[in-house]
Amino acid sequence: MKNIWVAMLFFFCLVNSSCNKWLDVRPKNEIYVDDALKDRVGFVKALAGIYLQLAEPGLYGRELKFGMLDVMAGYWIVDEQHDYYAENQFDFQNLAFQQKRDVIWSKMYGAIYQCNMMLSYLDNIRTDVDYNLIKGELLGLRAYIHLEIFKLFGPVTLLRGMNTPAAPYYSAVAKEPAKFSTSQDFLYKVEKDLLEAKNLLREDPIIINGKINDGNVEGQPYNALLDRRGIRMNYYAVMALLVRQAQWARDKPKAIQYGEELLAQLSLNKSIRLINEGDIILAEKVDRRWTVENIWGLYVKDLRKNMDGIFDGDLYINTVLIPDFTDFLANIYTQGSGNISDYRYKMWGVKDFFIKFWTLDPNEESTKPANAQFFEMQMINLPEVYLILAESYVDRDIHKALRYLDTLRIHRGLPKLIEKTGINAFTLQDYIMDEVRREYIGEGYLFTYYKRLFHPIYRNGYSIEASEGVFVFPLPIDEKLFNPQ
Amino acid sequence: MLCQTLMVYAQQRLITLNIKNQSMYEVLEQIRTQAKMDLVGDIGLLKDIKKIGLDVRNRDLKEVLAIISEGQPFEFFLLRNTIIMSEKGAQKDDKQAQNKTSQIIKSPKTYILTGVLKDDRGNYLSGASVRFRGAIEEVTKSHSDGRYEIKVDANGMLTCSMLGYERQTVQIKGRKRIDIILRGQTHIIDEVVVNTGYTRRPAPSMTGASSVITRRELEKFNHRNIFTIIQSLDPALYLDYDIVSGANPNVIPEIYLRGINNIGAYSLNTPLAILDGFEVPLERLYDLDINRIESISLLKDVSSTVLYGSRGGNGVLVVETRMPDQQKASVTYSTTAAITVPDLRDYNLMNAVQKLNYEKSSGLYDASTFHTEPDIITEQQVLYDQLYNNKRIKVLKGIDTYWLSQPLQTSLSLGNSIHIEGGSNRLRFGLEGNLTDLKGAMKKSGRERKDAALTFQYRISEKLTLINQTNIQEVKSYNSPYGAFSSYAQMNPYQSLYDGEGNLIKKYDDETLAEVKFNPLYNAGLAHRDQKKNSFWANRVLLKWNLSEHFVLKANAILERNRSIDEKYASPQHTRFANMEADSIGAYNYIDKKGLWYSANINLSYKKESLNYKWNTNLIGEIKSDQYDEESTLWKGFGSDSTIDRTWIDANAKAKMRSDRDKISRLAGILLTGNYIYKNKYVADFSYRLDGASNFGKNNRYSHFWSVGLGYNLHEEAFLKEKNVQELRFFVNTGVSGTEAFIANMNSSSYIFSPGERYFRENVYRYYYEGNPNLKWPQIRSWSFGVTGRVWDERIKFGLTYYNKLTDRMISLITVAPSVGIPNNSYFENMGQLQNRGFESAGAIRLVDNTSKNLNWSIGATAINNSGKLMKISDALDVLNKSNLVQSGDGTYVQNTFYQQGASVNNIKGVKSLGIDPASGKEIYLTKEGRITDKWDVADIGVIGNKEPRLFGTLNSIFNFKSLNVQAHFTYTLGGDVYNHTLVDRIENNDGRINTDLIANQERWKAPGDVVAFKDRRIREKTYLSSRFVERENTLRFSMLLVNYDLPKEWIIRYKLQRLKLSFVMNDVVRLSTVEMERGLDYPFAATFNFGIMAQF
Repeated sequence: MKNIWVAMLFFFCLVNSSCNKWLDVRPKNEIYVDDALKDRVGFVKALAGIYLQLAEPGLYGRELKFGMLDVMAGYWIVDEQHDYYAENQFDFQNLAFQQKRDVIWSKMYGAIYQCNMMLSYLDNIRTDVDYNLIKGELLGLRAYIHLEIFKLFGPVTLLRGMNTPAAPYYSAVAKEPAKFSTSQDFLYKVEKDLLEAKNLLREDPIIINGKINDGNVEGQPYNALLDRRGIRMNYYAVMALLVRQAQWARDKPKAIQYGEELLAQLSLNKSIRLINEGDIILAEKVDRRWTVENIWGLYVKDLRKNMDGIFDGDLYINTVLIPDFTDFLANIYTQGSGNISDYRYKMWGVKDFFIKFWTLDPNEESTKPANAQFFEMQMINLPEVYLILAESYVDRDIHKALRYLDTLRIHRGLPKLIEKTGINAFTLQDYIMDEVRREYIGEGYLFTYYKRLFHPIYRNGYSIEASEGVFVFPLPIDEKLFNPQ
Repeated sequence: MLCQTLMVYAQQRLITLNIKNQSMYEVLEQIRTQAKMDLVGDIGLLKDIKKIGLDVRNRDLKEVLAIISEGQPFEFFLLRNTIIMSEKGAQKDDKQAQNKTSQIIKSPKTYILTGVLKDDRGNYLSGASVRFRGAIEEVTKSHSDGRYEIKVDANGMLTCSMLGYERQTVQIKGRKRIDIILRGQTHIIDEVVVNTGYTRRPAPSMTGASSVITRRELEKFNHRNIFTIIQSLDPALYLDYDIVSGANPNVIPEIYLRGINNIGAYSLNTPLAILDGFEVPLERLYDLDINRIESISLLKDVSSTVLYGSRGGNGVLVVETRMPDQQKASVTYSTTAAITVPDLRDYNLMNAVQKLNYEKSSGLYDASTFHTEPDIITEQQVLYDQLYNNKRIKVLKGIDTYWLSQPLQTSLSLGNSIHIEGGSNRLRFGLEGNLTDLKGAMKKSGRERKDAALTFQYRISEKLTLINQTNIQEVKSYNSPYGAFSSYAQMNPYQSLYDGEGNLIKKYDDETLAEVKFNPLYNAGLAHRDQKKNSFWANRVLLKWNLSEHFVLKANAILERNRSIDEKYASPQHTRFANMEADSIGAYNYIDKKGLWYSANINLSYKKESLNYKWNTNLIGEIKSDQYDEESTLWKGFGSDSTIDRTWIDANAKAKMRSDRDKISRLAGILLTGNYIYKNKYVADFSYRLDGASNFGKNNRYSHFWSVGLGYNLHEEAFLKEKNVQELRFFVNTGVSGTEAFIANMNSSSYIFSPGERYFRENVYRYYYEGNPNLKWPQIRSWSFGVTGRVWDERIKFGLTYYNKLTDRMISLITVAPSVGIPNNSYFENMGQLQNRGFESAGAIRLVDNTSKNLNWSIGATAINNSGKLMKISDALDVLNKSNLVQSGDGTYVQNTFYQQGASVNNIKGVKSLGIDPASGKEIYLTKEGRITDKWDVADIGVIGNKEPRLFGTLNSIFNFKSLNVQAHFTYTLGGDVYNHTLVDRIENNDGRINTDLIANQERWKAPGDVVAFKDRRIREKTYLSSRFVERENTLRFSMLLVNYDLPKEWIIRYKLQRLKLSFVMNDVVRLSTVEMERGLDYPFAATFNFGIMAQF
């Protein structure tokens, strides 16, 4: 009888020791975060996941670019039958808008959560050679996304000042929703993250390799961190974001300081530069969006799919976006401060078929470095730095302001303004806006530009009066419900 | 002559024994077993006997008995096949020393009585015990042909008994021949055996509440829904028939036992289903052929549910299938025909004339209802008049469509099962097959079941038995192309179905509301598929090894492969695609799920019995692994409606969305139980289980569960022995069990990766799931006590149990603000405490018991009360309340639970209403602060009613006459609240454009001073959740009428039939309620009439 007990005991011991192992199952398509973020390889893949999330059509793959935001900015002809009609009318109660708004809010904050989560696991790779690079990218991304949320959902600071609640800023993983920071505080946190990122990225390979080169060494395992820095959060992007941040914080001296520092550094790095006439070649596979000017561009492999029915569909379907040219865009591109010599006017098809986003078929080896430019979506570009500098100098040194604006104009095939007479701070401000309107068609930039200046939104034959009801996106219902202020 | 043979046979019995130090009782038991004889005598004589040793080999029984009785205060003598033990002193005092028996034989008063024993079906009963009590005492057994003979005297009493039959006592009164018919026990079974899934235990050894339903009872029900049957016999199994799904055969009602233990999204409250020792989905029981079931045990108290540790907290339903149990071959065939008749008595819709009048009085044809400027009113009124006249013409033409009947049918469903068993002594087999096509009340809806099972039972040696069972099943559930029933209830009766040319009208242009604009019958005629095919193959092996007298080792293992294919096809012509782009119309969803699960357990049991006690212990080890892979594909935008062909659709669809999922979960447990019974009076019980599960990450992988219980069988006490008390048992138990959370890996956050997804050249991990590493196992702490009894020759039976359960650390999905940024804005959290307490009581009384006429009638009733209460509300629950504020399409809020400390979780939420203000016709509310207002505000939502009935249960009447059995079963509920959605959705929130119930014509507010229940019809604002619609409901449902008749054996024997049973079952024929409300919204309720025949060859 004793033998049986011993046998059973032995059996259960055996079972128990292998039990832990047996119970530790892993699903096939999933990997636990604890396992994934153990080494650099996992971090790089997870980082790629954040970039890919930003490239979704609900974010920079469409809506925050030529989609919703540029419909609001008034670039396209949108009639009552059009899918974007509600956005065109700023009907924020409309379900179609609310769905897009909810996606933007939750996907952007979702990306922030992932940044914070990865930051909390960073100790796992403390000794890794790319530690600084990864942490710098994460902090830069966190700042960029927060700033974008601020631009859309934050208050009109021109009216409300910097001390009203703007949006929650998440500096760490938390399951408790954060209280809304004031604009001042929010932008301070953006700056703080950017400064830290700048410090971490001071040895960014982009400085030596440039933005499109692959820094990987033959024979070594592929490291995406070293490949094509221009499609990742990089040193120069962080510096440019500091300029953007200062502009939104209405801190012109800082904007000038950060902007000129960046221009000085970029003058040493030729991989990011303004285009010249030589870059405008009307060839079959031409880079119409001049990605050489992008300081950071998001690689959107599905760009062509995201444009399906928008720029290449049937003219009469409810999704197609056609530039509102006659009597409207025509005026800005060809008259006043504009000129038909404008490369943008020549190249982008603002007259009828908008071809700025013309891409290759993704099957044409989109990951080939030579083709990658067709899939690069501008996140922050060099002209913006010139425009911000111009704006920042308007009321302190109008000549410097003009010089910065003219630099951009020259690189756009436009005559210099400096030769014009009677330019004062007000007219120059208008010229800058003209330039922004011409430059950023399809980029989702103009709407928040109007918002920052609390400027009416020009439309064909009328303008939409500036109001908070237009410029401040209402919060998602769930946010109000679960994060009451 | 026969008598002598027996004596000789008895004398020749040889005994071999080698015993060291065992009690006299054990020795006698072994002798009795070897001799295959009965042992009769006063066991009290053995009380003070010391243990003995004995070594005999092939010695005659008599000699052996003489040896062991030497020097003892008792002696033995043999009578036929009975060993009689009596006190030595008594013998000695009696001088005529030969033996008592011989003296009795010589007594002139005694004679031999003969007779035949039969059961109520006419079968001869062999082995029944026949006992005579008079001047002498005699015991014998009936022979294989039912005959018996026994020595009696003229004035004694004869008692016949046999397991499974009711005992009968008759006065001899000098008769020479008495034929006796023993009636099979229906609801009274002497030895109720509870199958816990791991062990089988006689009810008196249990220390908790449980109920058992045997095949004998199930047979009578001849009904296909196992849950309905269980509910009729033990209403503790609560079926929550929702008013939406009605009698849809493809929707299993929500089931729970003793209240709701867990709340929140994804909470699991259904009892655990165990089939032949292994956990199965509840749906498996739903589709199980009733004819295959041997017994169903319902485990309610922690003392038995704890055996399932982390899974048993919601109660356990243990189902055991039949094993081939006859050595004789037999074939049983049964068939049922069920007629399903839709029950529309809850609907009382308007006809065409009434409806148009209703529209008119609702102001639908007054321009002033919709416009305010006088100019426009005058201008528009012309159009409204035109619209009204058009509809009036239709009414005058006599169009009065009865939409409700359009999608319905009175259906006939057939079911066939066959059961074949046979084999030899060592190898027996059973083969079962079932084919049922259950048709629903809605046209083209139903459930088709096919299954087969083959069982082998092989006795390898005396000690080793092997059972192998293979089971295959396929269930096809198909839903009606006619869509939701509610869409027919809304249609306006003045619209005709067909146009002038006899074609179905697709669209009614004079309707403005999308709900009634399209003819639902048009969609019903299109290509359609909404079906699910479930199939599985399972093989189970059971090895039972009697290691020694005390030890038994059982190994039980099952392996199953299953697959389900779920298809939903919506034709591009369907009106829901009206006005949509050509490339987004048509939808086809195909979900293919393949699963594999295996489970095994090893059970080592130890049993020791002596005269005074029984000791039983089990050590069980168990593992379980469950995994599946699921591929889901959705195609959209295939303009033309070809045949439903996957290849064609794949090639032609504009959009294709594919998503894959896989899950694996594992569980391992060790269980130790012990059960001690002292003198059949005192019972002590303990169990301990350690469970580990893959679902609970590394930090909290294991959890402990335990229970202890005590029982006291008062009826075994000497002072009650003489009284007419067959059973009086008290028990109390307490312990901790759990409920399984079924989401895999709730603890671990995860990324998902798919090969094609890249950012430039790097593969990506996408953040997919937010885990909660701090999540702990939920626990249910409970205690209960109860009493059961049978008195007055079992004429009265009763039972009462009180229980108290506290669920701690419930697991629920918590929604967070989207800015937190976690996937799906949700994660799992332990939260709050929930208490359920209540009592279950049952009583039955046999009103008529006429043995001579074979007539009896008994009635019974059960009453149950459960009250659930939220004890501690955590912040998480507060959040849950917010996420429960779901708005439906029209902007009103959906009636779902509101969690409030101290309130039931079965509640109704809303704002307290003070009724309709007679001055303004508006509804007046009471805010949380106690202010009176006419503004409805989300913030004022609170608990306004409790759906939990104060009392619910069953009433039944069982009547037997010879082999006719008639049973009526009722269920009732008393005092629960309901939210009358008919009043809200169909009357107040109906601006008149959809058809509605006639009660909508009730008085509504018209002018100041009107004191009415409904607000002004001209107020166009929606009515939100309000206490005005909470009503107290009492119901009585005639759930079943059963008539069973076993044809007398002498009638059928010539057809070579062993048994022929006819049955008729009627379901849900009457339902009375104090609340008038439309029920069966998406699918109507139905009454069914079953006719069945069972034949055994």
